[in-house]
Amino acid sequence: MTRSGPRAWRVWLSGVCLFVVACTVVAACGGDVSTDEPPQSGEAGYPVTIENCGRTLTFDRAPERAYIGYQPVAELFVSLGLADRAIGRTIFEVDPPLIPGQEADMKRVPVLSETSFPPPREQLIAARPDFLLAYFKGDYTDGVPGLATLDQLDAAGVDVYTVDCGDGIGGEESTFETTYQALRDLGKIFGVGERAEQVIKTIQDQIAMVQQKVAGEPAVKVLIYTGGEGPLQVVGGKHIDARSIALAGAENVLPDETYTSVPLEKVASLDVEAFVIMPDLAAFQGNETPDVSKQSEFLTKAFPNLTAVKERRFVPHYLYTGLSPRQSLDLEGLARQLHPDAFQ
Amino acid sequence: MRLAIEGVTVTLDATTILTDARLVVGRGEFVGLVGPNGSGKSTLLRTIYRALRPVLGAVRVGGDDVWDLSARESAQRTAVVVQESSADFDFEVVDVVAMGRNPHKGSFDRDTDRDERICLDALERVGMSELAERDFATLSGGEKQRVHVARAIAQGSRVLVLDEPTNHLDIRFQLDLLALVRSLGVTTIAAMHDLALAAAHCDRVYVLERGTVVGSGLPREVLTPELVARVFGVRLRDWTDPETGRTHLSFDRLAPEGAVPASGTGTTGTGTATTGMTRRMS
Amino acid sequence: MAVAPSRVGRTRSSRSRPGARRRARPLSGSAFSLLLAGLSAAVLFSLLLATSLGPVTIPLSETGRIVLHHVVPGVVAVPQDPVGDQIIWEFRLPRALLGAVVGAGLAVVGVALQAAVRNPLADPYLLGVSSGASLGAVSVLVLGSSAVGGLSLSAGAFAGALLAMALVYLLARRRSRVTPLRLVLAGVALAYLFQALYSFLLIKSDPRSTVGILFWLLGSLGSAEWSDVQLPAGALVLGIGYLLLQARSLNSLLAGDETAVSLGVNINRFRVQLLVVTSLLVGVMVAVSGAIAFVGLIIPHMCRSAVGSDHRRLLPVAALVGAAFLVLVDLAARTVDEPSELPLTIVTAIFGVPFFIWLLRRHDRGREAMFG
Repeated sequence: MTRSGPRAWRVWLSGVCLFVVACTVVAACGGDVSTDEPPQSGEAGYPVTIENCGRTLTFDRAPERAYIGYQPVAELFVSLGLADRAIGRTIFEVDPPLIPGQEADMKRVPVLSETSFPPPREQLIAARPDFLLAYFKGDYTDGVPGLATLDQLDAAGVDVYTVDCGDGIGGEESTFETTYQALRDLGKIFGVGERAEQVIKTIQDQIAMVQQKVAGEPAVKVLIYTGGEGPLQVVGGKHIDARSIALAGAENVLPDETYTSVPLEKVASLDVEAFVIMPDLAAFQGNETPDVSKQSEFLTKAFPNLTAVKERRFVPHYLYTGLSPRQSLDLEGLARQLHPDAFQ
Repeated sequence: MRLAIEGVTVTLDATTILTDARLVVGRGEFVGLVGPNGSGKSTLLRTIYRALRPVLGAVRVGGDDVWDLSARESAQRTAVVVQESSADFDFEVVDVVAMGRNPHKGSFDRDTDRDERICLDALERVGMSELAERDFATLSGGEKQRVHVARAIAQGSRVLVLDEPTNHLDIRFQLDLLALVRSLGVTTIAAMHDLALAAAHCDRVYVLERGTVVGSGLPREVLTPELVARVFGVRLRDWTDPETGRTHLSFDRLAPEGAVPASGTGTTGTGTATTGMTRRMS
Repeated sequence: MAVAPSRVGRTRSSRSRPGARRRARPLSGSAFSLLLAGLSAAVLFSLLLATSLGPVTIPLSETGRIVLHHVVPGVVAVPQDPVGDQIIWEFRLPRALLGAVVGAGLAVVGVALQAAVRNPLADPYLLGVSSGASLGAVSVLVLGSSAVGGLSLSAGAFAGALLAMALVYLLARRRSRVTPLRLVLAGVALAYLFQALYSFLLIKSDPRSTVGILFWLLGSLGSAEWSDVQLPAGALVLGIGYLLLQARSLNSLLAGDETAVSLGVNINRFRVQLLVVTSLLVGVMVAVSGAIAFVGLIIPHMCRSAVGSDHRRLLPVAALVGAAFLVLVDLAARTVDEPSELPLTIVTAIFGVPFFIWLLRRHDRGREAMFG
């Protein structure tokens, strides 16, 4: 699999002014680590007690060896300037390119797992972490056989913080507020509370800016298309990754679905003004830009009468960024593609 | 041990297969059960070894109703050899014979030297000692049948039930098998397809027609041309071998109503099936 | 019976034939005891291998110390490294033991079901049990535990297995009799239904949760803990005990229904008992390991061609061979593709199926030579 992601990513989100804006975010999120050094262990403020997904966590000092997991939550962790405390993460090859400014930090963190889940329990424990950042409960329950359970992690002296408390991923209860809460909690646990508030503010500012820009614009009716030429695989408005698109001035034509597949005739009957196309893996592999020409070609042939096709509005947009601080970044990228005039 | 079937009626799915069947096999007697396909021969036999429960009447083996016995007690009294295709599993010949000892064994019992001797003796009796360790599945049909007879011998039962024991066997093995069974001297009831074979080997025969016993007695007295014509729809002729002085049965098709006799022959039908079996003239 | 020496078929029987396989005298006990001892040693050796080998290197001496420390506390000093202790005692050993238990259980159930439906192609999952268990597991994974009455993953799998068994039994029953053919047909039909249902759930689910589901459908021992071992081990002991007590009846069943009845087997009752016992056993196994295919099919055949179909010999041999086999398969599953683990069916299929094909071909050649 390609490792040329970061480069491709920047080009992909190449709304004309995007880079400038991105740099603003970078400055807050990942930029200058030295301005906000995490405190040494045993410093004042500890012990810290946190309520997390029904469990009470107590920290006598900031954890030193954190397994930071899957990309969205790893990005949360690194955005707090904690990269030097990370001892392992999952592989990111199947996911979108890294947040600008985080590449160097992420590269230093060893890849312990080749899936989006933690490595099998033996390898995980052998890496001797004292902290595990879980995306959701599935990272330590018996969903994937071979994962260490909470009890086993506890026995090995590993504290576990879970970002999304829902049963599955992207449940209805996870919102931007979930991301903020996680940042605040991690800020407390690692004694970087100020930095956390800073990151939160940057995200909120960016969202506010995007909303302000698209405020006067009519919402674009979009269908989020992830693949398939028989029935189309689509993401409905109920899924967290798809919900936030409303903030970018878009309206999901399937508001009541999550992941689903819909027949072609159904799509033809919908009033689709733009297709938001999730680039597949191949789009990142060695390409300068995420290549959605194949998908566009298919959609053009299949739905010649849709407005989206007539106006050739095919918007590449990566969805699986979940609870990452990059949500606002992606939101802006999407808004710029849907409402180019508003950003001029 | 005496076998008595007393007024047995069997119904399956509201269809009556056997009606008030009555039959007796005396101790050590070899009784044949004949009748056309679907006349209820197998059904009658199945009531003897408890595979079917009659709705009326009783089957008595050694004086006891078989349904008053346990499955095991019944198996100790009655052994059965049926035409059954056993699946392609790896049994050695002696394994199959050893199954005959099962009714005599509790769950915790092991095979004793005596059991082994009984099994090897049984194989000896059917002339299969040489093949004791051969894969059962590799045997010919006749050999398999002999192994099953050996298994029945090892079972040590005083009553033997045979369902079409000679089906699919070469003519020579048919004769050998019947001679072997007769030599055992146990109370035997055998459903038989072949009238001539039945006539030649059975002490007495019972004739079944549509679930009812329509004749019984010495083969020569029961298998009259009239009965054979009515029940089996064929013409019976017997003739005497001038060399041996024995009477043989042979069968012809009955002339169908209005059928034109085949030209050039003097018989009333074609495809004459002559099964030249000997019938002892007692 | 009157003893009358028979000359039946003498000439024919004494004719020697090419290709006839001969085995040790089946009724001789000492050779068989030796075989059992050897196989038991093989199981122990595979357990030792599986406990001492893994992605994390731990010296054999340290492994031994850790195990001894737990088995006879106080004699051996407390292990220095708690991580090594956890890896050996909490992860590898229960996993290896569970592998042995599940392997033995599946092999034994395969043997019993092949006899029960008198079909050499029967396997523990024939009666829809695995697809029922998979449906239960997938429901928990996709809908969440709260949506299915708070069942845990393994409880969901077990419930699914039992549901499948009950439905197959009801469908196969007619006039209070169950026949092999009807059992197989009902099992196959229901398996398709369950597959359809869990495929539906799968399509509706988040792409990320499919990894876990795939592991379930293909079997894994990755989650094994000590508390997972007890119930299957207990079930295995009871199950093998029951089947061994019924070994003669199982033999009779292979000879055909009519013959079995005439040998004193109450075939209807016996068949239902077999179904219940094997389904419970499979349900318990599948709940902790997912659906591991091929073990229950391959091991019985392998053992049959070695020791024959007499269940008194076949059952213990199949249990031991199945145990050693699955322990080694699981060892391969967690080491060949480090740091990832493979689902077990991938490994059992890759190693098992070519072997099985070879076995079948050899078998056929033997048969043809005898008939040709």
